[in-house]
Amino acid sequence: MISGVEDLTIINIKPEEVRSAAKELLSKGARLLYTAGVDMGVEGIMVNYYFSFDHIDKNRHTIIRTYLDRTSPVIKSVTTLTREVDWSERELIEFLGVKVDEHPDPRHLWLPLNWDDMYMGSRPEADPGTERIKVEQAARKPTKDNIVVLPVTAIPYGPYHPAFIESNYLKMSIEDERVKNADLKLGFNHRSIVKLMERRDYYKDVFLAERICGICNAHHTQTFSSSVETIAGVQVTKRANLIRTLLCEMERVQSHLLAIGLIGDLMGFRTMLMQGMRIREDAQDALELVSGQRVTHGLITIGGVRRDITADQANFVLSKVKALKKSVPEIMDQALSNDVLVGRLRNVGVLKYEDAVAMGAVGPIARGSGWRIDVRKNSPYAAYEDVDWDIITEDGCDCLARLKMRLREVLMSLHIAEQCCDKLKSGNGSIMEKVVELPCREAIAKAEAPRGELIYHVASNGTNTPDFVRIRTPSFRNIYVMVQLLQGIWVGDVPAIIGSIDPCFSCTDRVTLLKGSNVEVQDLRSLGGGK
Amino acid sequence: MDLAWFDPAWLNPIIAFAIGILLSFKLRKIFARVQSRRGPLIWLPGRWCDINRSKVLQPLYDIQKLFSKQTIIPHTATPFFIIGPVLSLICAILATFLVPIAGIAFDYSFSSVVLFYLLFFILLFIIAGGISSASLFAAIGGVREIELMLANEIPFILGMFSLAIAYDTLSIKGMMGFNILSNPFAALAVFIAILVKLHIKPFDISDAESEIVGGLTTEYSGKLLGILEVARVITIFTLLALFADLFLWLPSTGIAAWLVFLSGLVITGVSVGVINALFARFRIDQAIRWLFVFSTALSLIGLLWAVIGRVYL
Repeated sequence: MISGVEDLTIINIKPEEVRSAAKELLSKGARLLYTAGVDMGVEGIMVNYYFSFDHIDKNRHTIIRTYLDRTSPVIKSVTTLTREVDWSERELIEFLGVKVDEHPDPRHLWLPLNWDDMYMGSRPEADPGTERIKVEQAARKPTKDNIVVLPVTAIPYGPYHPAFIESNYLKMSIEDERVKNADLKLGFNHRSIVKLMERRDYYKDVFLAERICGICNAHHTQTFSSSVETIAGVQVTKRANLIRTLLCEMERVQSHLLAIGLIGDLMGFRTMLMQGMRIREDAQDALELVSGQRVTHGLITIGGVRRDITADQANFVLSKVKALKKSVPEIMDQALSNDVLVGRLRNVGVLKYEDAVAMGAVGPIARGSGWRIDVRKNSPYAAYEDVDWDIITEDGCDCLARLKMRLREVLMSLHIAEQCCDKLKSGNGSIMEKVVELPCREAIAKAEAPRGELIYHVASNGTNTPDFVRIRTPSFRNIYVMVQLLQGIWVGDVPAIIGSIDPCFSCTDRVTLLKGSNVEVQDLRSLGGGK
Repeated sequence: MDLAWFDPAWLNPIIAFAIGILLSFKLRKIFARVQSRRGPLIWLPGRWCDINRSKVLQPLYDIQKLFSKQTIIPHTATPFFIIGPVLSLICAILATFLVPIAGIAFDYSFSSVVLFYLLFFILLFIIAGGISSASLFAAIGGVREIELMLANEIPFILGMFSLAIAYDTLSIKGMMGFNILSNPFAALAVFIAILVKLHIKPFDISDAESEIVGGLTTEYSGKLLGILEVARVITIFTLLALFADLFLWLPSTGIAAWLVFLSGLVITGVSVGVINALFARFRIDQAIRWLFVFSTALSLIGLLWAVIGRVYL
């Protein structure tokens, strides 16, 4: 079985027809996963719309592709049809300069707030010698509608704030302990990973993909390897798939336990975080023994895995899984019997099923709203078809439902890991398939990372480096949902919602490409000082 | 030498600070142990002594560090930013004179009323200082603190008054006794009120770090924060000692009085520490509703209990 998405249709159409084609596909029940642009040189800017039918029909995906003129790239917005691509189109506007007509909210999301003053327009203060803009002049008048100069009483969350593990900037206008309006500014973790990937060869890209997110790194390598294997037409052996599944599931266990603890910590329940971390050590020990590392495992590679799991190692993992199976229900009981915690989470941040579908929530957020959607069942990869498991959903739609869903999913992951260990213990076989040649093809691969659906689109041009790589991480979707949920709630509920969404801002910021970082740091400081 | 002019109650603030440091340490230690952590170390093996020292006085070291650091005053702050913590500390020190430490205190026939005001002003001056820093987080924290105070003062005062009714006096020394048996409702009401005043876990809403960073003390640093910390240490002692005196006191003198007082203090301290570790934080509206309904009802029952006891017994 090829591990990437097999059933992929690519439709080439003209830019004017995109909206009607998208409408037709959406009316058939498709989910619009992502929109990404690639500058292809003389061919123009290639814009891909990734549609997925896999929640209806296993494995089925469609890409609508169009080429825009590089000198004046203009395209009609699809956000008017579905809100799922709101941020994707803003990404197009910012990073490729595509003019997206009729986009409802075409403001900066990643780029610095005074980007227009600095790099666009008449550039009156430009220094001809260095091509740089003088900082003081540029910072003096930021654009009118940006997050810093909104005429409201606003409290800033970030760039550094105790409720965020990573840096971003959430600005909320407050009226009497109620959030009237919330706006998010990304771009503080910009690393331009997809551009770096185009410069490195495939085997180095595996390690680069691993470093996009520390906490779901096995899923990133799994997905990247899957897409490259699909290009090469290589079938990963059964044993390698089992090892990959084991690694991914143990990673889901540790990620969910951390997320659960953090929900408690953000609610002021530090004891829950500490006990969660104590339990999580078992999962970390198991991962460390299998891969040699606690965080970046470096086990999965193109064509299989780099090291085998012996029977002794499998037994050790099994013992840890048994310990976890005992301790996780305990912490579940303790958390759910704490009235104050449950009272803080119940009926907070309600995301109705219809809203979850409309905004395109993925992963635990969608399943917490009762949507049975999981890449492991919809587009199976690795060994998920060979093990016994089921999708877990909760119907509560609130923060408590998301917490419960994660706790139950941990138990299901342990069940999967146990089966993988049993199979690995008895059997043996090859763990590596040789990748001989990478033809000029492209492939997409998906995986269910702990935070939701992760997509890689890799295109090969026959050389040792990929032609382009596009990544859509789950948090990219879920943070969009989070910002919508923050409107009109209590200030005290903001950490509850942030915790229950479990955002990963580093994942979301993966594509940003900025120049002259010194200049921006200076600007933001001076803007923050003037409040 | 004639020491008749010297009342041992003058030493109360020093004792309060010293025991307050140990109580703060104990709260941290209990917090850590409930979380399966080791916490600050009490005793170190001899071979570690050259690399580390006992952490029993860690709260003191923290305060010492704060006093050695630079104090940053925001340019938006009014003079009350500096006066607030100092006045708060003065109120805390004055309050210690009125709370009997092993039966030693200045006592008047109306000392409980004076104590209400002093305890109230400790918080009020912190609020005034915090809000005058012009920080948004401090403003939100101040509003929350005032809301909590409005909901909390009634049960606290009613709980104390039920003792005053039972003993027919407003002097704290006159009210002391093992009243947790004679009026458990008032005891619970006062205990909850003490939790709120000390910002113990379900009620630490006004300095919820994941919501409003540092709350009232967001802009404080250096020596001013050190003063606030000293005031906090003394307040912890004062309130816990007040509870131990009013509800867990057995009439005694000399060494026995110290034993009774300290054991009462330890019992109160341990209960507060465990509660701090076992609860999540209330949202402000939940806390207000809970205090107005549950805590106020409890204190009213306590009051009724005291009146019935007075009339029929």
